[in-house]
Amino acid sequence: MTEKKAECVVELKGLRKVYGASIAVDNVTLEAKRGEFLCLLGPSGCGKTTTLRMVAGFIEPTSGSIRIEGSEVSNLPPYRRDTGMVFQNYALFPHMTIAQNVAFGLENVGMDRGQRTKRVAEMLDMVELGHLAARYPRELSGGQQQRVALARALALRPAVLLLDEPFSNLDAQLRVRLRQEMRRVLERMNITTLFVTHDQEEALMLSDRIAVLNKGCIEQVGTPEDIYERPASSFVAQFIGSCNVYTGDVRDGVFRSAGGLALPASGVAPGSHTLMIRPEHLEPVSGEYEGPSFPAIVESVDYFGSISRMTVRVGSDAVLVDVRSTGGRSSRAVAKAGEAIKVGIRPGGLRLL
Amino acid sequence: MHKSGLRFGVTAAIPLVFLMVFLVAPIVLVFRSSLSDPAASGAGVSLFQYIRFFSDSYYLSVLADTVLFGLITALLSIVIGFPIGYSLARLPPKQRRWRLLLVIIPLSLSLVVIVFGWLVLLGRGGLLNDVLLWLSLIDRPQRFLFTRGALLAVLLQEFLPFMILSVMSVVSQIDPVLEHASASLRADRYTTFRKVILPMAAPGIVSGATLVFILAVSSFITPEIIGGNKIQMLGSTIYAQVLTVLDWPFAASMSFVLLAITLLVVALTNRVFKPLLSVGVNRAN
Amino acid sequence: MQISVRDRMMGLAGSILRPFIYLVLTLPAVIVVVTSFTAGTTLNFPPEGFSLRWYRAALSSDVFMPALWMSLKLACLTMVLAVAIGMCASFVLDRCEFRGKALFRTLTLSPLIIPMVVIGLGLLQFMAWIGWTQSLSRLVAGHILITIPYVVRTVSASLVLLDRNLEQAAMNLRARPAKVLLRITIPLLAPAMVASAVFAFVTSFGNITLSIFLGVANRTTLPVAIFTYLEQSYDPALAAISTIVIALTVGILMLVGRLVGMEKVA
Repeated sequence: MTEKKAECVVELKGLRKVYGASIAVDNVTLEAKRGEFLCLLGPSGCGKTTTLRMVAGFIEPTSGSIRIEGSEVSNLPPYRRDTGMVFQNYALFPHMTIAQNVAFGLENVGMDRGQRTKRVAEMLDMVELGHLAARYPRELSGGQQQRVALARALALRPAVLLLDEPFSNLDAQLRVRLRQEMRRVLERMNITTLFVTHDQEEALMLSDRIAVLNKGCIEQVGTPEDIYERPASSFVAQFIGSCNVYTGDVRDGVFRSAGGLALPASGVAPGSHTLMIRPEHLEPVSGEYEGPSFPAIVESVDYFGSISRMTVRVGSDAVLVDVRSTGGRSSRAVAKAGEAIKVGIRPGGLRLL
Repeated sequence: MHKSGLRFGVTAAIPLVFLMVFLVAPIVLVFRSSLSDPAASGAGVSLFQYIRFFSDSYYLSVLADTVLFGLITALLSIVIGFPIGYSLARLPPKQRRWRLLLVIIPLSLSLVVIVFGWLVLLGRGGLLNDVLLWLSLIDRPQRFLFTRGALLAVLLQEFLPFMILSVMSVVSQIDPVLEHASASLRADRYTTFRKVILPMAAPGIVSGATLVFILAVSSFITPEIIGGNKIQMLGSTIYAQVLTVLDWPFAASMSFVLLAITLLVVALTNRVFKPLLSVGVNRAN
Repeated sequence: MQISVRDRMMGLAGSILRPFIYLVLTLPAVIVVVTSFTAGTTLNFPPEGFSLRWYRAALSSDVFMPALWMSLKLACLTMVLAVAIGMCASFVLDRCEFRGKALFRTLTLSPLIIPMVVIGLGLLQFMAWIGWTQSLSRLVAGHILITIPYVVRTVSASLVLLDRNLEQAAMNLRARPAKVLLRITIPLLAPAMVASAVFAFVTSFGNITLSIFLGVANRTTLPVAIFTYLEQSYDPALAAISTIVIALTVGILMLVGRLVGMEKVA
């Protein structure tokens, strides 16, 4: 049991936050293992930021417990918790230089000047900003400020690093580059990280595990593959990537949706179910296809460069089908509106709840 | 956040105690004093001082004069202050800086210095007479001092900066894009002013005018020096009662009349004028 | 461009009116400065000759110099105390919720609209009642009262704009509340504090209306001394001492304006 305790750096049990009549965080129970990069993912208002701020100590939980390295911290003020936080707008102190910003936390814990200077240099080198130590935040670009914020939070070598949507203020290309850099830095330091974002691409790319939140509750916790390939609910399926979701009945080994879609569902107990198929698991097939398939009428084709997304109709159901562009043939030539085609399902693409 | 009750209590108590002692208590005292009964040597409660004030046609004329000066000063300050305030709001920072200085400096200078300057300006040997003689508009130095016109001019100059700053503040919050939009919809500058700028700036203008009115009716140094013995305003009358005649209860009742006028105008502005004029404009004011 | 007649007239009126108004605003002060250098004995314009004799008279005066010293002391004390007390009020108004908050805010801002003669009489009666006769302290109390509103308004405006994340970041970096206040909050409020301190100083230094009521016998402020002198005599010594007042006031404004930038929007 002591081994398990040492494994879990952060433990949230039954965490709840209520504001008057609305429940922001409802019974969140979660663990972050040592060195793990755990993402809190969800749409705005799902409670992920509130949860993060409760771990940091800026919001008092209505009930529940927060343990960091085995000790209960929910009654401790922020300056007594072993956390380091990177804010969405970086919150660099405008009246201090970069070096002073990074040194601030070290001063507060009483580190002597010599050690401080060394640590500050070390941290700034790690994010490759040592040459800007004497500058002020306003002289730096957004990406540079973000790296300083990271260096500042890590300078204290906290037990857990908290990141509050740190890439949302950056443009797309910068975001991609910084994500990879951050991953590198954090892996090198082997620091446990709690990361909040609404960008599912980011979550999939960076995380060891993802906790998907919706309306204050955890919908699913798992590895990126788990979340993507085996979503536990239609919310998760539709929030991560695109997904075709239908409710209907299973009878005599066939799933029939309300709109008219009928697909084989062997070995599934009869009754009402939810069917989920990702568009990339569907493809237009010729008549000789032997796997599960269904007829459909093409409604429209949208071109996205690397894929073309067909919207096809079965009865009153709309189905999204993604077709990859293969070299040479433009995917535009896939199908035309009004055409009747046959859509085949790749093995393992069907998921029933 | 984690605001301890004790910290809040002490931080709030310091200004609160100060204001209770130095603002509330004195005003209560003034009120009490104004109700004192001279017959019972200050012990009872009586409206004697108020009756004395309101039944004397001289004091009533002083009151009327004071309110009139206040109104005219306020209205003129709108007409004159608005163009300046507007232009300051729209100027680029470099050009605004020194003009703003010219507005703020008279505000910061001691009143006695300003009024003294006007004394010199309007005197028989002063600049105004010099210029008018040079332009042959008059053939002998005129007496400008101790006239209503002079007093009005000085009051106006004193309090104009308040209006200018008020207008500047409110116009700065009006997005210049709206003026461009108006122009693109075939409105010339005049129409834009009338239909777009003025309605949106109205609450700020009213605030400024209220402030000017209150300051004008409260003034006593200026009427004392520029008006001399010929023109009395309520402020200078109170001053005379307090420091020369030493009739504090009477002065107290006059003070309260002045205070009542002030509070009435503020209430009118906040309850009537501002809501009436705030046409679809969000203002935290 | 075809500009409408209305607009043309408006533009013309504006370009005549605006410079004229700026002139009128500064004219009294300019006249005072110019006439202070006269060699004659009258305040006529233009002044006769050029001389510093009136400055010598003003600077050696045993009425004006003690009063100047008193005004400076008074202004410094007012500045420090008004900012301290005003900041307490601003913090409480910005950070706490409590019953009577609106009333408290109105109370702190009310000296702006209460006529100074009323405040003067009130304080006079109050201080007579409790037997408070020390001149400097009476004046300090009165001056603090009338400058607090501006401190509260300026600092409050700055507090509203303060990014709370900065304070939270500081706490996350192990800074206790006192440290956050000292190293983060107050440095970021510095411009507002300086602006309101300057206003408090300048207002106190120049104040006459209240000081006339509260000053005691010979220990008065410079503006009151000038006023008293004016009621009895009328000579260029007044111009000289007034110019000294103008120089000090403008000097302080310019100095601080250079340091902090002209953020003095009422």
